[in-house]
Amino acid sequence: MDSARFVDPVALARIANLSLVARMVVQGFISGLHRSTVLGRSIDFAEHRPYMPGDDIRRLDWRLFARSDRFHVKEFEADTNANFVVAVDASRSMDFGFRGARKLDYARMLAGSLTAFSRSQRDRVGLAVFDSDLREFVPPSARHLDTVLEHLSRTEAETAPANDGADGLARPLRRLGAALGRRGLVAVVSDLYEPPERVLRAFDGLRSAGHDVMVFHVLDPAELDLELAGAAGFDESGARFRDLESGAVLDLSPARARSAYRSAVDEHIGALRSGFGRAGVDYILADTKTPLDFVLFRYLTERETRLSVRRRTGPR
Amino acid sequence: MSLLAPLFLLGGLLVALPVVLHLTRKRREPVPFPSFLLLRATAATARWKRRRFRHLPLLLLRCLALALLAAAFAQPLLEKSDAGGAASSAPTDLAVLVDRSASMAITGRIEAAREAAAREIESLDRGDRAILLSFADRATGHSELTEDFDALRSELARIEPGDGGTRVSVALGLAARLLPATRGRRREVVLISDLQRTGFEDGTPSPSLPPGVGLRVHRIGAGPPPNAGVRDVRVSAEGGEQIAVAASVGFSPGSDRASPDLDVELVVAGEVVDRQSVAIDAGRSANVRFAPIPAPSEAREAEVRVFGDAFPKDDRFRFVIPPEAALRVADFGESALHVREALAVGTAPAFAVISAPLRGESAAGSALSGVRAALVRDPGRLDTGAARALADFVRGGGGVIVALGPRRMPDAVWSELEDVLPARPGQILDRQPAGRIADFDVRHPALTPFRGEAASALSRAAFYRYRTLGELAEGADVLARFDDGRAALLSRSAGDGVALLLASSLDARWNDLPRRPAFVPLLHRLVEAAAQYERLPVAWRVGDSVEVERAFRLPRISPEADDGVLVEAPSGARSVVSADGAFRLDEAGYFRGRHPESVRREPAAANVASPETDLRVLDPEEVRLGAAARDAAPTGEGDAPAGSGERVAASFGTPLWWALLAGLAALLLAEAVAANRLTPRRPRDEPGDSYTVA
Repeated sequence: MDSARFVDPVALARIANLSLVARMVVQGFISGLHRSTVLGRSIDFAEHRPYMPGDDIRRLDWRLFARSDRFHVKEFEADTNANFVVAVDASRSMDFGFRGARKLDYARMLAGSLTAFSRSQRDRVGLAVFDSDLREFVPPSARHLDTVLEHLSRTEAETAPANDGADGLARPLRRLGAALGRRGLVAVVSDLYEPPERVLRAFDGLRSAGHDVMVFHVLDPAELDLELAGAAGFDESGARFRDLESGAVLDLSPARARSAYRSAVDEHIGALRSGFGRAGVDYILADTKTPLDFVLFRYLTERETRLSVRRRTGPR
Repeated sequence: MSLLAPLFLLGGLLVALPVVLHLTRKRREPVPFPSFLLLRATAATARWKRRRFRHLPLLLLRCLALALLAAAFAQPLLEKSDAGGAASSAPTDLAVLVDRSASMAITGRIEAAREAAAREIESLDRGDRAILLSFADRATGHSELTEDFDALRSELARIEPGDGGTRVSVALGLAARLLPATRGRRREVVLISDLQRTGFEDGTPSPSLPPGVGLRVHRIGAGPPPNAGVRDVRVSAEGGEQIAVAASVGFSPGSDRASPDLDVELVVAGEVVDRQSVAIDAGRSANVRFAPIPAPSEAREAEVRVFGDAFPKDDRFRFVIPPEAALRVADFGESALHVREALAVGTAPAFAVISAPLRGESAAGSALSGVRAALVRDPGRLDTGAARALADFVRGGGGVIVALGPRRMPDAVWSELEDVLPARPGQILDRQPAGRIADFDVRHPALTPFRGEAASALSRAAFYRYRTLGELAEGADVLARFDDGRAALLSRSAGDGVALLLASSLDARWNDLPRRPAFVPLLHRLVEAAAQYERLPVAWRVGDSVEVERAFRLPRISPEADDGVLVEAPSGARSVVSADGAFRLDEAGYFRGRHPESVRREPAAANVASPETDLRVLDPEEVRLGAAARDAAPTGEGDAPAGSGERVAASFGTPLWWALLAGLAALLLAEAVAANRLTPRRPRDEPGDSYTVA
């Protein structure tokens, strides 16, 4: 893949019109695809499963019944008019950008691109914005693309410090699950600053409700390596850090902390990746210098792989 | 190590400046970071304690630079020990320099100086040599460089304070020159003086000794004693027949005590004619005006004196009351009141105005007899005879001021005055608006009062009418011009006399000059310039060189008849000085001079040199350091360093001082580099910077 094709997110972040950005990314992305096998959305047969009381008897496969004398129901891979909701983390920690675009800007552009892309697949699109609670919710609808993009462009990071009693992702995701009626696709864009086990637990509700969940883990490159040289007040030998979430300060020597910090980051990401893998949640780590269409491509590749595996391993 | 200017060390307090700045400078803002979730895990190993001082090396560099700057200005004095004992044990050539200026006449000072000199001579060893010198404004050798110390002691007893000023640097230079550079001998000068500040140029010792000559300084007397004296005396005419004497009396600068009242006497020809008592604050002076005395018919010796302090030399101010009759001025034509009144207020000199006829050579000539200057208003009124008498008067040494008027000068009159006047008067010119004097030569004695800001006093006068002037005669000068460029005032030397020509009138019809404040001084100065009157001082100062005829107010004689002037000093010493020569007043008192054929001796008064009355003193160490050679290292072969050790002062301009400055510059450079490196810069991300996606 030629990376030069991708548009720098920092440059994109300067475009105020999120709708334009989203469409630009999606169109550029689509034009770069050579085939669209993974996009089959119509009535591609997926699998049979045993008939259960309550199933629509019109979906019974009578031919199989004739051969096996058992009731089976046909299932298809991509249902048309699926629900797609993107949930954007707008907590204070997202209000950070040093070497790449600001994380919240990146998250908004990514959410907009995903929404525009989904809408191009004729999905119903919706939006959730959350911090320590669910702040905004746009229910999925075939007519809500502009509404979603409009809400996204107005989204800013929360201004009040994080509530000490807040339980992170659990509460907003729980409320989101309650708000979503029909099963659908939920994309969560967040920096996931919580212990991995709590993060994974927060997604249990969505998973158990049957939603197909994917997580975009957005981080600034500086958060990955603690290279903040040039930041005001930063000194390799010693600097005072301020937590954007709580406002707490911490005096550290970055030179000495860097190695341990990188290990902690690697461990955190590793735990999330393995945990999400086990839970069947798609996990994409993207730093804010990564071009958006590249993230989309990686996401779809991952998804294709996972769907293929799912097809081969039979019905859930 | 000592310091030449220790007060500059206070500049070291500036070190506090960077310390305060480093303490108070705005702390850096904390670095925002999204979450401490992962960062806290590193805290155990990477905890950083915030220091009170940031960039400690930079702070130290800055403090050091400021300390070095203060040290450079304090001018440290580094003392090197002798290379060995051999040098200090070398035989010494010693110049003993004793101050005999007027200020050494203060009670006990000259005795103390002699004792100090005697001790210096006593301290000499076998093989040492010494030379004795004394100095005031000049230095005098009392002996050769000798080992005969007894002869030096006897010479020492003859040193008495004089009346002259103090010039230390000249004396030091002479003393050093009298000490020959000899292999294996130390050269040293001992200065024994009260170290009057005025004895040094600008009050600061300057290097006066060559390299290799050491200097030791003995100060006689602790500081300025309470001293009152007569600073100056002014003599002026008072009403034509009387003389007014005013004196300035006061206390010396630095006098810390003073009696509230001071008795002041005026003595004329040995008799006290007036006595007054004045109250003066310490360090101040006051003017004392004595009762007028009759104008003498011949020069009188007089003095103003005060009483009772430790320094008697300035208690008497001798002066001469000149036999100055009023300067006689002949005013041609009918009398003009404003001219008479303007001249009547003159006191130094006083003017006596007589009327002269406009017609008749003999009448005019007799009127001009005994007159120094003539004033002709509207010369067109003169007849040929009067004009001829006037021309003869000028050629014979008299002066004439011609102010033009409405009458045209007849050709016959002009032909008489042609050799005298600077230009021929021409047509009348009316000015509307009025003309002004735009340019004039302030160097000419007649126009000197209008120098600087006073120029406006003259240039404000409005001239509505004046005559144009013809071509300038040979030797004529334009002293002033109107704003249209035409000449306003001309001067010409004719024979022994002077003629001044004013293009306008001296009354208020052609100009408003008589109504202007400038009129009186201008008229006085015009008459004085025409009469070639010279303002001579009534008293001189010891050390002055004066022309003998001016000093004694002797009549000028032709060079052919010059047999010299016999001058008798107050001490009785006599000398013959050429009549056009000069002589030096080297003692206080009355000098007397006369032409050989004259019986009468004319007096000239000399008083103690004026700077000697300022008794403030310098510190001996300051004098020693300032007057010693810049380069203390011996240069002559065989020279040995003087004193117990060699001192190198980092005074301004010396190599050591420059070295300090170079160190300072190096520190500032290092500071700049360090500050540059310590200032963080935000790196630019390259376009191809890697990114992470997983």
